Amino acid sequence: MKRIVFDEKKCAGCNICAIACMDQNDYDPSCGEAPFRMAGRREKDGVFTNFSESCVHCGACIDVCPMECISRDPDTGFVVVDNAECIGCGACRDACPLSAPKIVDGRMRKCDGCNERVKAGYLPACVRACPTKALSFM
Amino acid sequence: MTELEKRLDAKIPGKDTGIEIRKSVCPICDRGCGIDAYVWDGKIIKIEGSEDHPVNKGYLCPRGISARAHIYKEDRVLYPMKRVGKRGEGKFERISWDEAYRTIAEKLNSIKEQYGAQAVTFYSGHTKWYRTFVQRLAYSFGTPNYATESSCCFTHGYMAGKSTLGYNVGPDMKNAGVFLGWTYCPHRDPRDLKGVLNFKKNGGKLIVVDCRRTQTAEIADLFLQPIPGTDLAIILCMANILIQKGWIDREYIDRYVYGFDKFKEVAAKYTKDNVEAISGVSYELIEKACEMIHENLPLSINKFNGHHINGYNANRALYALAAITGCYDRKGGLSPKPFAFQHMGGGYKTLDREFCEAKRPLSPLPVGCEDFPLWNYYEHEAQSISIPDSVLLEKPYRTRAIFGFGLNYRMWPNSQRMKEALKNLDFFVDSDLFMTDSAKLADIVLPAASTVERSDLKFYPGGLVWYPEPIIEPLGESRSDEQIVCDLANIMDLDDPILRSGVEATYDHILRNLPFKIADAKAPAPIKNSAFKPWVPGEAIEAGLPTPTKKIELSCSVIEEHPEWGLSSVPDYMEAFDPKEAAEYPLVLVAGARHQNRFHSRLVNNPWASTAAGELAAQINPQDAEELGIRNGDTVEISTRCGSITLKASVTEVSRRGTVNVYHDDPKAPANDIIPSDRRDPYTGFPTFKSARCRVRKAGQK
Repeated sequence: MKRIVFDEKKCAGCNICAIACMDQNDYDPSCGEAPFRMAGRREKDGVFTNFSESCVHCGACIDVCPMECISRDPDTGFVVVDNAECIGCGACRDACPLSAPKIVDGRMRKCDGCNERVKAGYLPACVRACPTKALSFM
Repeated sequence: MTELEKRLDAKIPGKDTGIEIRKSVCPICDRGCGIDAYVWDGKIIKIEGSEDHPVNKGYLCPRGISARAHIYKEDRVLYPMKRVGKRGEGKFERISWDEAYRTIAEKLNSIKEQYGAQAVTFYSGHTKWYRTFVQRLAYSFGTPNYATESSCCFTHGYMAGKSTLGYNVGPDMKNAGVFLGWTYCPHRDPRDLKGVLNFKKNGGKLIVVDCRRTQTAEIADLFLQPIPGTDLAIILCMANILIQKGWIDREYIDRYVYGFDKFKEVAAKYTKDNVEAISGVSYELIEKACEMIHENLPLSINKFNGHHINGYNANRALYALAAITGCYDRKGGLSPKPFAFQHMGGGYKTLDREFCEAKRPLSPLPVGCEDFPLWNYYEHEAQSISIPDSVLLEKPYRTRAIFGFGLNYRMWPNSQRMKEALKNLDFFVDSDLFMTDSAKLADIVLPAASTVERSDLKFYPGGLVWYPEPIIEPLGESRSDEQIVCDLANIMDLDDPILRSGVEATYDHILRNLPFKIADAKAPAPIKNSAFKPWVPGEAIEAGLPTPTKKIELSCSVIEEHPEWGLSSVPDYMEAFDPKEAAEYPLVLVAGARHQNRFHSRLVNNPWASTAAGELAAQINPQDAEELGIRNGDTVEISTRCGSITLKASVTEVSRRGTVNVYHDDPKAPANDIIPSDRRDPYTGFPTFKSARCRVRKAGQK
């Protein structure tokens, strides 16, 4: 199964991927949560690194959900959420090493790898938008 | 969720979802990148770069990718508005287009009758797509005062091209052996990275000169980090070294260059003894750059935005480097890039300049032209930066009304003075997409449409041209700026049958020398114009350049003929800073580096671009920060002799020691507010956005 892979060496820290994700997911900053993907350039002691970070679909959140909203799509391997029953308890976020799940209006949302796009034969929005191919789907 | 709901939610195009992909151009800048807009129920719900577009080949830049949030931003002006509160208060009421047009026509005509047409200025901000129409409108109305934001951005480089080579030129990086990248940073638009990475892979040497340590600087073979505003001294020193060592093309110079001996004399002043003291870059490093150039010819160079008093001359001097090494109009050097239409290249010419010139009033001189005669010679436009002097000091006469298209007072140095000028106008109209702080000062605000809601004539490299059709209905009652111009030409009963015949008929008039009509360019994709002629290296210099001497002018013959202007005909360094200010203001403020998530002020309030950019901070070098007791995240006060701004500090190696970078156009910390408006390049009238003396301290400290 294919995954979204990040190659820092190719990354320009441009954050196009993050904004493409906002566009795909209708991100509204007034929701009080960070977008699904963040990207850019960090500096520590004069050393710069570029990053693009989002859910890595490790599945740590799946079993902790009391409402069993989270599952792994057998076709794509992405960790997806059906938040119809979500109670916004935040257990998923607590279990996540990256705080990828966001609680918006009392329900969890997170990167689903653009699951439906992938199923329809499209690339995930972030990968599609990356001009340096630092993000790839392979 | 049903399967269909899931597909709708994921914005999958198809008959089942009713989502359709429509093609248009990006609304953010003038590059005209193709976008695939996912349209559902008349609304754009997602955008991507068009894979079949010849310029962007599937990708957008960090600004263009925010375009949907730009198009639908909540402060879009949707209807013509009339101010009912005080200027700047933001109280407006909706009026009809008829009432707006009638009011504008009455006011402008009455000012013309009472004070003369020159009392009205027509101004264009960015983007530039409608400029030819606005310029013609100004001239047909009878005023010479057509002004643009290029007065402090693009034009100094263009003038450098005109005075040295006759027109705009561009690099042929692909075939170059060494590339001199002056403030060159393709990382800001990673689509352009491929070109430089390929260049390097093929053995090309990259020299980057930038006061900021950018990502591109890090991949350079050689990086020079000068004190901003002083780079001309480095270029002249490079020329001196190349000449002294005989690393020049004597035959080429003899044949194609005018004024070499004069140039050589001026360059000879920049040596081991003074260049480091002026520029902060060691002579040894400059010498190394010259060696790299000599050993890896041909030399290609980018022109750059030198927004300081030496900017025009620095660009001229860069062209001189290409000339003395025999690299202009040579494969792998610089190539002629005359504009097809407005500031867009294309490999052929439209009749846009002639269209405007036919109606240009020859007197009085436009605002600012008396003070900047070289500017007047090349541009004959008002120098926008002089507008506050005209409104507030009646210099050389009083401007009483401004018709602005996307006017932003924060562009002006000492911006509050321009704001004051706008408040003192008898009448101010602004056409804009958004209710900006400048629009709030207007008497009438007109709703402008973005690219996707109208057509937009784009010229692309390789002779391609495109006039894509609108892909959604205009938001509210917004209209294309060109439509507004043509409507007003009719309402004001101007003697201009061409403008009055409408947008497309006007375009057909401007394109009448070309083998296509505007309707032909309304294709699903850019069309090839058969008038396109590819560049043949050597052809232009052999035929003679469009300079008075027909040669590459290292000494500008136009300036030589006008000793009364008091300008040096050869680019020569002017003291970038007033030495009297050094004690009180020991650091240098750079207000003008472009943030990757912004284009000028565009996208400043864009929800996605702002989220991705994070809070913008003043970038201070770690050593400076330590001496000033400033830590990352501290609030700092930056002061010049014009005032202070307060913002967060980012302690970073990006900033050169002794310099502070602040991104411009941030309403919360408006850097241009504290850039002096009285220190200007005598050649172009450009202010010193990128080199103003300043002081930094922790907020609250004395």
